[in-house]
Amino acid sequence: MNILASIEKYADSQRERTAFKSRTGEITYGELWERSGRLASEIENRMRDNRDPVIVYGHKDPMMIVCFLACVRSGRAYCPVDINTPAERIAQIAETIGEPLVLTANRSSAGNGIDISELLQGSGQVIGYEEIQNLPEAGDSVTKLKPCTGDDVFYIIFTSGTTGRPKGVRITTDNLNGYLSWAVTLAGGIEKQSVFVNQAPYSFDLSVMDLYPCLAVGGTIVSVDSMLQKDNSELMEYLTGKGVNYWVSTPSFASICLAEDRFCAELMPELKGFLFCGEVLPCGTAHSLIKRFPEAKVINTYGPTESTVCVTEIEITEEMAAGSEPLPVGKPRPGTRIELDPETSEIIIIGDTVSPGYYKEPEKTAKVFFTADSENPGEGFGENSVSRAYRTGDRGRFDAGGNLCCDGRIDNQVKLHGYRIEIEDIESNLAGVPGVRRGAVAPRISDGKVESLTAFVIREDETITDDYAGRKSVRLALKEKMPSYMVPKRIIFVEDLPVTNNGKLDRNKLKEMA
Amino acid sequence: MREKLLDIIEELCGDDIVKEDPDIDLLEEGLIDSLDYIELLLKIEDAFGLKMSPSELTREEMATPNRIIEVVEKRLA
Repeated sequence: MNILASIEKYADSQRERTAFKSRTGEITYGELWERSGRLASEIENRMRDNRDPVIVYGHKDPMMIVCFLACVRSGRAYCPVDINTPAERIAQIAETIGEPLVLTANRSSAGNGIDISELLQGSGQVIGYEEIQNLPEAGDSVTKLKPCTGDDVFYIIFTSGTTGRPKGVRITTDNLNGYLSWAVTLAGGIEKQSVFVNQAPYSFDLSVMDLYPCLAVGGTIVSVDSMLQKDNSELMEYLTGKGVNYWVSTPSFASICLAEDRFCAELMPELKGFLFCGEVLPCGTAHSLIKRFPEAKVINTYGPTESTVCVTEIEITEEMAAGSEPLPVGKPRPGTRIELDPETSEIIIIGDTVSPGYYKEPEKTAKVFFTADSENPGEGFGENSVSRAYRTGDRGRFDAGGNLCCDGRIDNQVKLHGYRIEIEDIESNLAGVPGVRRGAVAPRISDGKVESLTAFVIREDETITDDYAGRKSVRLALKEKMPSYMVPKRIIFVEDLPVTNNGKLDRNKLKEMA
Repeated sequence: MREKLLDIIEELCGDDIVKEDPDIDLLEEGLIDSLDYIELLLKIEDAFGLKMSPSELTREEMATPNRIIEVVEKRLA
């Protein structure tokens, strides 16, 4: 797979086909290639010998994709920053790069009022939305550009650590192309000219799972902006008649949509698959999707940003969804090998999609990345191959069918009255309680010490009543499944669970709520 | 005093049923375990300066929020 070559080919063979649309506009393949070429020349003119990554600031405007392609066509990595990112964090990212060039890919009227030029305080420069839109034809200079290739970094995504400075994960052109060769085979093979739904903001690498596989098959991305994600009924209207074939989102977002009865096969009759990544897919969510969309495959995947979106996959059957948590995440792609640390069961990912490391962070890189060699490396590896390896911090095991299962973080552990407790362990038991649609558990902390646990529960129906009897029944059901010290003291019924801008369960918010 | 004590019990049990139904049996309902019980006595000492040791109290005396209040009121009087 050579993603840039593929897009260029479609820009010629299907010029007028829509590559991307959102509520702020749409763009054809022809226009995408033309505009990104003009902008690539402009970037080259401005930066010359400076090969630093370029920040692309925006949300879900078609110009976002123009900017991404422009950066890599000029031979520079792009660093996507969503408009919902706090100013302080944007400043940290800019500081890490030094004197960055920032491309503004959303109309100045939109956004959260952050003035990028002000934020940069003179170190760095900005190309505004209107300027990008009105760039003159580039002429010959486009042909002289040297696009990203091989080990050149294609994008840098800053991951949201809970503390400290964000770390920039570098993904090379080879990483991405290696990932894509496999990504287009998911769900029985992604068909040409498919329509993808995008939920994730572009600063979250789940978005790579819809953007590039879609462009690789000459398809159309239907991108859902953050305001639309907060309005279920408006969202259902928006999706109507869009001819969606593949749905890419966090499981949390799908579960929010499931609250709407209209979210079923009639809304998206041509849907072929749900592709999930980014967090644990609860059985209940998978089960409801299979029931409501009998023709669509539900694909669970697993992988951290550090190994290019995801590296394992499995189709979730009705039987699996009716079974016990957690759902398996499947088998590795060709080119990836999974090993478990014999002591901690930490999942180690080895293969050609593993990042070369964090941007300007050699120490942090050395802690979790290393080089692995093997005489018996497996499918997709050369003989005696040497590959990059990454310690994920996730705890895993293989089930009887040889599928990888994730059992939470090796560090998502709380200590309560001296007992070691895995939060995810309680949550998967909670999800197995009849009448519980979803549940999340957070520690209640006082003076830095875990005092007790609180469970937030979304009820499926009136099987569990919204009163003391209901709360007691949940506690008793949990007591049958696990030692009593693990049973959360507080059971709180909620309508929904807090999610982050990326659409993942917001564990920090949960802690505050506890 | 009643309110303050009910707050303490609620905090320990994690359920406001103890205020709605102060005659509920805490141990029987699984709202409190032996560890919580010791904690309760410590908190009562902190809040009211009333020292009570587990050995001088029967389970029956401390079974419900109302009975706990009764015991504390009697001892403070």
